[in-house]
Amino acid sequence: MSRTVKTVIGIIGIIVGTLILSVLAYYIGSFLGKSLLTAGGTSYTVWQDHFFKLVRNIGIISGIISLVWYLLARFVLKVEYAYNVGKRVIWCIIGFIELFICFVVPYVTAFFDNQLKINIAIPLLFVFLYTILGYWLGSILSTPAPFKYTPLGAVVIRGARGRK
Amino acid sequence: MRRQRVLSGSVLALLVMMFTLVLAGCGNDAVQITMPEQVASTASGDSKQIDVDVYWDATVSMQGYTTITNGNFYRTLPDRLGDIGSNFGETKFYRFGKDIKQLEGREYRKFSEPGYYDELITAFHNVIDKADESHLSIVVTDLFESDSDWSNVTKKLKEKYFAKHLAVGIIGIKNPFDGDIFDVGLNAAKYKYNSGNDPAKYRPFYLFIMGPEEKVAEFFNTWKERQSNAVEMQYLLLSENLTEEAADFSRLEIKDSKNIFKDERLAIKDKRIREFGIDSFGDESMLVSTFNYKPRFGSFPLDMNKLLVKSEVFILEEGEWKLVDDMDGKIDATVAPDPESSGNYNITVKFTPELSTKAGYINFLHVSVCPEEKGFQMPDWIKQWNMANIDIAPDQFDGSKTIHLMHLVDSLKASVLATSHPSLVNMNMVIDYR
Repeated sequence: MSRTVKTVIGIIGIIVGTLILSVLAYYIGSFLGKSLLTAGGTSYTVWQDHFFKLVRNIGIISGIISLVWYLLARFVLKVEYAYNVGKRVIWCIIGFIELFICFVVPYVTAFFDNQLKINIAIPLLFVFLYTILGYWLGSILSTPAPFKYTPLGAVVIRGARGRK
Repeated sequence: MRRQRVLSGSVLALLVMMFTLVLAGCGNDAVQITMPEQVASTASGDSKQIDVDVYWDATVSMQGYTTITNGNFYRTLPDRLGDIGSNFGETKFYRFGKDIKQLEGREYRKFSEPGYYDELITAFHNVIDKADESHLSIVVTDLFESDSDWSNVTKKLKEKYFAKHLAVGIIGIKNPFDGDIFDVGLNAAKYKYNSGNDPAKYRPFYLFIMGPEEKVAEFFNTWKERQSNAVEMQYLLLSENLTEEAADFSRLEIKDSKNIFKDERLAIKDKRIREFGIDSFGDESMLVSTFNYKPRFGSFPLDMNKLLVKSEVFILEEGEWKLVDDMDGKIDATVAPDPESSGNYNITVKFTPELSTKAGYINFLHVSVCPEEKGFQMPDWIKQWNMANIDIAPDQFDGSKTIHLMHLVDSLKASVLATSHPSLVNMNMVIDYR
């Protein structure tokens, strides 16, 4: 398989993976949302509409963030030394941006949107799906070969899978 | 090559899974939810126009209302009714005795003249048979019925009006009277009565208004606004709703809730009904709602210490609502004055959805707060205008009262309680347990 094909498959995989995580975020979040609502407040259907928009926005941002790391590793970053000094810092910074967005954006959105009620479970759900599964695990599995050990834990997980 | 196949297969599997998840979430709940007929009128709001039919008692006992000219309200009645009726819709006039005859053009204005009253038998029950329930029917009468067959009249009103969630209103008007009063007492005596111009001696006649509840109430309000208080008028409304503003989910405020949330998946158009979702069907759900008791104009005074709460559960089966028999006592509802606000009452409804609703169906829970029968107090004016004892000497006869008025109103009250269950609050909840 050529590098170009691998790159295309990698990009498609990130997009599809983000879509699947977004679907999971929507349905799990909708289930959690039932306990947030009351009989006298916003209706569940209306809340779901607003929650869908939140999930869509977070999903798009998260997908872009994952793609940024992938494209950086594929086209921009160079192997200058025998060790990946510096690249992991970049990976971590992107990861923290992802974490920040997943945790803070829901609260900010709910602050301005009085139809969207959330509690701590929603941001934690986004952190688990988009940051841990989407960014951390996704980057371990999809980072191009020159930097495949850059993500934290990549050595252990790839080693457990039998890859070198 | 193998790796390529594995990757392609994985991508395809992921796409199929995603598609299935999205499809599973899609659903088209194409179910029309309407009010069960057993609970309330299926019309969620009355149309603006309604035709009006005025049935005028043309028997000789009504003649005496037209003879004294000074301070005579009755003689202006044809024009007043024609005027108000035209605000509601097309208005037709009829005269009745034993039979009913429609009047053409402006002939109804002759009801101001003594010579127009020549019928000998009053058959109010025939008027009820002929009346169109979708119209506003107004009967002008002195509440005299031949053979005193009021039980037949109340039975017909019960079947035709109260059982169909329609209303009956009574406006009592005192008017100068000089004429004969027939068939009084067991010996069918005839009395002459002359009130002169003394308002304390004026004789009452009545407008019986029958039709959709909102239109009867609207007629009451329109009538009251246009009168100048020249003569004494009293009002009594017998209807399902006892409050000025509908106390259902179109207006009720929900103060507190547990394990229940508002939903709109079924897209219910009737604002009196609200759809709810349940977080956990095995846990207790609770709803606390507040209502303010503003008595409806003309309704019976109520003793607010004598209230009871009723609940029913219906399931939607083959497009029809069917009452679930074994749900008695599974919905716990109480009503109490709101300690924070005078005039307000809290109604608390508790139920465990798993026990109080039927799995696999769309459920309709109806909870209503009703006065007990003893809670309905007879208005003072009914007692004052009532003549209970009909076997009296001619010089004892009081023409300013109506024979058996209280008995008639009592019968009507019993009819409306038995059929349409007048209530202060109606909580109509739909829960989809499919």
